[in-house]
Amino acid sequence: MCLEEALVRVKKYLMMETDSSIDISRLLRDEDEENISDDEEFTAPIVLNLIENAWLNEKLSAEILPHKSIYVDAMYQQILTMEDNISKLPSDDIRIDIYQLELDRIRYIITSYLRIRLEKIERFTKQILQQEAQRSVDDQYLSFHELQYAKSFQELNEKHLNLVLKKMPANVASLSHSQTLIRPNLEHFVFIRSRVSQDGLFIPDIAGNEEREVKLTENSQFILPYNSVSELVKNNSVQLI
Amino acid sequence: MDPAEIEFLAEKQLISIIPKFNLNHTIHLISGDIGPFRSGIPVRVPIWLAINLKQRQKCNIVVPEWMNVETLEERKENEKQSEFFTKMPNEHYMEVSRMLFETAGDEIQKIDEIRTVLKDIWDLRMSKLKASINKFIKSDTGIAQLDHLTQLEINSVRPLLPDSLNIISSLEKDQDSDGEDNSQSQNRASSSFAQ
Repeated sequence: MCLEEALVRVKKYLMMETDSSIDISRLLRDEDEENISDDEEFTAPIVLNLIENAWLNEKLSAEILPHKSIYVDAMYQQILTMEDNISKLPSDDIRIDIYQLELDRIRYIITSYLRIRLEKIERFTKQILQQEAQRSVDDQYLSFHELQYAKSFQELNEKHLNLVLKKMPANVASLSHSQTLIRPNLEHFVFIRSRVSQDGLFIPDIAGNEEREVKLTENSQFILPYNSVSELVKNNSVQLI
Repeated sequence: MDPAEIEFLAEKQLISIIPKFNLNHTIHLISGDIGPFRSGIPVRVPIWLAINLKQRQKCNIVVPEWMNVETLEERKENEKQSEFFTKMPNEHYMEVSRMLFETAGDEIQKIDEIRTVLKDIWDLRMSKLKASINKFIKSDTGIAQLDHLTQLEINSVRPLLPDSLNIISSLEKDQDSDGEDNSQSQNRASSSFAQ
């Protein structure tokens, strides 16, 4: 896939996602009500940090992770507000470059994050859609627009394959479900840093036989198979590095 | 991961600068507030901003405390003595030094000596890393602890180490199951997503 194409798509995606205006703190408070105490504010730096962590995790894991579009939307809104403010400054103000520089950095992370997710969706379309259908409404891994994208991509892909199959000799003119199902390798090795202390993590040896109990301490780093910590990555106890 | 992206992450760290301009406002960046700036009075800013201002001759950079020959020589000795990786003065020590050498080389004293010690530390740690990888792969365990290894160092063995482990692991598993469950390993995409 060429870069421009991806960029255009991501841009479109971003535009769609931000149709409605969003109040950053209100939205986030609704979402994570149980996780934050009353006096803790969901400030822009915290959201930015969450997006950066999500970006790293998404980049380093083979499977698609639960979407963070609530943070991405909020941050995008923040960027628009910021751009608006910049345009009001006098053109010789030293602050313009500084703001602009930071916006470029944040935009890079968001674009890269969304692009990695799209790549995964295109690669594992079938498997992702299958799993997504089994998840409850509150537990969807894809955002609304990602799901739409996945479905239409799947449709096009199937249409394309069927077109090719028609021209094939009869004995090879069909594809079974399992032949077209591409799955990520969830046993792949990853580097992690633990945010919490945690006992009772069982890691199989390299042949997948004997399990060994491992204790994670805060800030300890390991290399281990991804599936043994996938839940911890999803609930933010462990950061991929 | 691209090393440039790790440098990008390192640029978030704060560093002290001495501005050459006045700005009475606080700048409300999305990543946090900075300023106000008073000419001659040190202020903490992210490295990406420090570099930008330095390039425009608008500030001097205060060299981080750890970036001097004595401290680094001490770290190097520790690293030599220790069987394990020691904690580095900064979790992005290589990237930060590289960036500062490039933009603020004129403000760092004994820059060549610092460069040499840093290179020595890096080499020490790299050979330690290679030795422990060798031990790890031969051990057949599925986990290894890597405390105090920095992101750039980790990245230097990626994708080679995780990928070789993936291959060893799938070979071992195939051997165990004697190929009866071949469909399991089919259609699996290659492991690492981070190009």
